[in-house]
Amino acid sequence: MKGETDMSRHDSCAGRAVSRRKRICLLAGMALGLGLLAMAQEEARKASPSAAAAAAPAAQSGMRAFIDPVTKQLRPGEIDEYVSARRTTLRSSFAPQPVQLRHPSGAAGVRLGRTQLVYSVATIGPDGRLKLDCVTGNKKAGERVMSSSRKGGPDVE
Amino acid sequence: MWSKTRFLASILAAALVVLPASLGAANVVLINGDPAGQGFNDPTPVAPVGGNTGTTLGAQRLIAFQHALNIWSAQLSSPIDIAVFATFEPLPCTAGSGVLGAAGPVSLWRDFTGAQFGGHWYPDALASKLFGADLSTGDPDPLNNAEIQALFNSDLGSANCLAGSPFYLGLDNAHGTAIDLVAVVLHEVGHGLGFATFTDGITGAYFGGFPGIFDRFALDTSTNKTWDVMTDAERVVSAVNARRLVWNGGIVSASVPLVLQLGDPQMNVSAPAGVAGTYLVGTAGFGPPLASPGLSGNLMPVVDQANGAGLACNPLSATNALAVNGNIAVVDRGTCTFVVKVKNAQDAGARAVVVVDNAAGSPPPGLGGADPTITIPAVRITLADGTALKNALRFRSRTRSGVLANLNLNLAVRSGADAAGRALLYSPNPYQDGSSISHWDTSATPNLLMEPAINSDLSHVVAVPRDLTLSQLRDIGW
Repeated sequence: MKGETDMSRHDSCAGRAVSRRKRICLLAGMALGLGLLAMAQEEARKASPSAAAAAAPAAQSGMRAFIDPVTKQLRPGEIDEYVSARRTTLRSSFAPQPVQLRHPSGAAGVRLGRTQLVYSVATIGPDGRLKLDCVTGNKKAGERVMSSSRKGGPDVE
Repeated sequence: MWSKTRFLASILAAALVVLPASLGAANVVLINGDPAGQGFNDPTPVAPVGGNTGTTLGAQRLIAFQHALNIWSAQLSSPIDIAVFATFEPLPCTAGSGVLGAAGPVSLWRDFTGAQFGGHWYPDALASKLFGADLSTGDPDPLNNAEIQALFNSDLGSANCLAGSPFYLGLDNAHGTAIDLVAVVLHEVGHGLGFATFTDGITGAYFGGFPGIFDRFALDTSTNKTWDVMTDAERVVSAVNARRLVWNGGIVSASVPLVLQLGDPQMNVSAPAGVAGTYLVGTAGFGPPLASPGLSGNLMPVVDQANGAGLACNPLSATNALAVNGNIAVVDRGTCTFVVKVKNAQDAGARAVVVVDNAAGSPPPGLGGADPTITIPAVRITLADGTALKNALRFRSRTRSGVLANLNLNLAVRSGADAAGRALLYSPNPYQDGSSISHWDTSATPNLLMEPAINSDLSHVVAVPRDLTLSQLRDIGW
């Protein structure tokens, strides 16, 4: 993926022994790049100039910092951490409020988030058999998992 | 016995479903959204399984996923590629319950050239097909350019995530007790292709102020209105109008006789007049199925609790055994499993068992469980129906009640359809967020791919004569 390629170019920088000041500068640069990338994605030519669309990118970009748990100091992030952070950012950019779209042909659109995904949830019943059902939205899916874990499924008694 | 006219109509229906696909298959492609070493790229060595030749976990996931997409490819036609941006990632999960996966359209579009119905949301993949070009393109993020997003649980089967219930990655549907990934992907992508409403069934409100194309075909047979012409308040009522919400598309209706079996399970009470009528039932996953002309008998309650309830969790007392012997036992849900109750009634000589639900709602769910020694039929009825029947049962002798019931299959109605032959949508009361509306009713026989509970006996077939899903997609424009 495009972002992973970008991160790989920084691998050599993260791997060298560099001063604390340089590490901070590198981290700030990387994080700023991530933020700019996120903003560019949301400024797609199809995006409407609505306030909602304009506001979304700013809320979704952000600087990243990694703290050494022992020294409590800033440290370089591992490649996987940047990829994970980007994925989290992208997922977050996909999850909040829907984004209005306008196609040059005049068609109106909306980009959905995970709130509209249909989730399949499996629960083990008292007889040990799996019960599968569907839930809309990531929040409700998580709630169903937790509530099902406590109740154990009702379909055999 | 089919008439010649009906036979020819069925052939025509099958042709309507089959021919468009043969004119040019769609290209449903997987966009691997996982980073190196994770999910679809997991390098863990595994042995090939069930026709899946992959030798790493990631490769097998890719192969199984693409196999499911290929099934859809063969049935659909589209001038543009249908991109499914997919990932395997940790999803909420515990030892007893977990998210398997999720999918849906990335975007919705309305009022585009080629839309059959203006002012209705279409899922991206269908909208682009009808528009004749990709409506979602040019974004630097491949996720935003995709038509469908899908994500699946990479932790499934691990120690703290439904241990012992991993995804089965074979292609042959021989999943045993594991969860068949191909079937789950087929189901989830079905939602992404358009088997879903975006209207809120709890508030009745449209998404973004407009109905979806699915709503155009969701017909409430109590009001004879489709969801796209109702008020919010009407949709709230309709969303819980159990077994009165149907799919009103011509292709599905023509397909119903090819797919759904004749015989709608029911209980008919013929006397006394005050409770005479036809009752909805939930059938059992154990014991013999209902048949026609059915099994008749006096309903006789088991009473083994101080409050008058009958749980039948222990061998029946002599009084209760005398009551149910040769009759249809009425017991209450609760405390022990259904198979325990039915077995105790069977051992006492009951010819069948009616389980009264202990929670309000309709239609009555089926009875889960397994016991190969159970030889009598059993059904569940709603709490409301059970209360009414028990009231009539107060006037009984030790061996007879005069409340005459027949448990049978109504051969004039197909299981999962209404009397007019229209496929039922799932509209239980109370509303089940995520399950209601956007699935076929659970009464369908055989089990269908797009039921809310993904059943273990599903095939990898999405079209007639096995399934109605493709027919539904054709109705909305595929």
